[in-house]
Amino acid sequence: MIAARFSDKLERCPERPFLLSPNSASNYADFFEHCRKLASGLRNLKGSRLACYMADSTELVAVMLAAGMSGKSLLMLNRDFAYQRLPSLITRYNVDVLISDSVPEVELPATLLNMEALEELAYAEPIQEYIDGEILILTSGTTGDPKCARYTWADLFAQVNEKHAPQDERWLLAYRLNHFAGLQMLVHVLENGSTLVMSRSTRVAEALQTMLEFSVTHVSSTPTFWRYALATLPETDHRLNLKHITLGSEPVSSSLLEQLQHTFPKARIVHIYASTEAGSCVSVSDMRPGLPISVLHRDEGSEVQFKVVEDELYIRSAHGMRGYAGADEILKRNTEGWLATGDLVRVEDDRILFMGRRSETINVGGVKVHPLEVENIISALSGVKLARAFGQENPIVGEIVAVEVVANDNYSEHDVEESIREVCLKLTRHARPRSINFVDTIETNNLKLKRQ
Amino acid sequence: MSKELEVIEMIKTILKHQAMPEAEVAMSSDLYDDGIGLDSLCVAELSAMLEKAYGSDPYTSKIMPRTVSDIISFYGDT
Repeated sequence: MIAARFSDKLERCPERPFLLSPNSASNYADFFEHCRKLASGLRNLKGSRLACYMADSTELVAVMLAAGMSGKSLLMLNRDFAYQRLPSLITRYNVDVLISDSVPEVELPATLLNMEALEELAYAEPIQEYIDGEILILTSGTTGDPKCARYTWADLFAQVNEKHAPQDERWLLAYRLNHFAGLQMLVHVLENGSTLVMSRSTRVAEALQTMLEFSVTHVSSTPTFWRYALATLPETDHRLNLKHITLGSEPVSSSLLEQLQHTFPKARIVHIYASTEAGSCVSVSDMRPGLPISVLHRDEGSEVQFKVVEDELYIRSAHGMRGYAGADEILKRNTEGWLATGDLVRVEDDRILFMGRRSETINVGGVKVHPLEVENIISALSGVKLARAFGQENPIVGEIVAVEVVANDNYSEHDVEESIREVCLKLTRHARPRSINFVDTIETNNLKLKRQ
Repeated sequence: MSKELEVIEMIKTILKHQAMPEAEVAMSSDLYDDGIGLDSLCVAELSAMLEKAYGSDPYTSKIMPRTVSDIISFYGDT
């Protein structure tokens, strides 16, 4: 699967950069050769399951693709995990070999291999016959413990809309590679013969600098990323020449869509709905928040189907995960293959609008409040850079709505608070924030607002 | 500003947040239905404001003050 994609690009655009980063540049031909050598080394390793515990880098991309060609299954571990978490994860997911860019100071129930050792093994002949491996992704765990979704590379490629000709597009890798959205980005670039640009880190300022330095044309990131970015960038004369913006991982608001269009008038702006379990499900380009209601009326044979049950969005996807790996192999799907997404929605006219995660609902005196409805109207205010609404324990009504706000420069907190109070009078009384705190920054998890 | 005035100011702010009519708030004013008219959501906000300002509040300590004076007494006692 991976090798076939590379071979196709070798015929059509062998010299095109595949990966660009501040430290390295590789074209399709060279990178494929490197991956084939690594794959030969990986194939000779004992055991069928590998894990990698590496920072995002060209080496990590090479290990991922090489594993996918060698027939090994690869578990992507978050490099930010403490060493102490590794032994239990390795045991839980039956990992035989751990590939790491550091030496974890802990006893591991698996063979440890660093890149130098792997490259020595790889000095054998490049692999000639390819066996598709699996890749295992831990869910982002924005709420609760992460689970491990099992994918075949074939399913990942099947989710991408292939263009007919290789695309001279430069995509910023804004997500981490151990997250599903980062993996999707890699697959998208390889499928379409584009270039992946890696930043030194996922910090917004660094990402913007990388976009300028490497003339990035396409970006896929979260609404939170763009709220930070727009607060930093001048409205015009920012020198970014973006042709395409994809928003995902969080619901998008109309005010953000308008701001982006204003700042990047030449860019096509779309938002997508995807999840680690269901994969990429739908892309929306009509510049309105939510999904068109037509997705609820898709035929039985459609690759991705949607339905709403008790205000929750359900998805049935032909190319989603194969299942969870490890001890908790129980599927969240019911017998007909439907997956409860945990996303609460309301159908309004011709639109399915997102209200937030079921697990994040705030119970104010028995009335359910969705943080997103509060965040959306506060975030639209000119003095607000970012806002997060959450439930705060309260002795009278159980929980009240509290908000944390990052104010834009040149706005007084007093004035911003007044405008928040005023705009929130539109909300029902239970949904109005009872506590407003100004903070310098709001913690994020893989560029999404951190909820718990 | 004295604590008495601060608490009175908080209550006036809460009434303003709710777009409720401005009311006379005195030390002896009844906080609820027979007086200023704070309902459960207003009291929830008052509890959060007191907690933020002084690090504790009577409601969390399971004390139900009837008047502004009762609130002040709570802090006097702790």
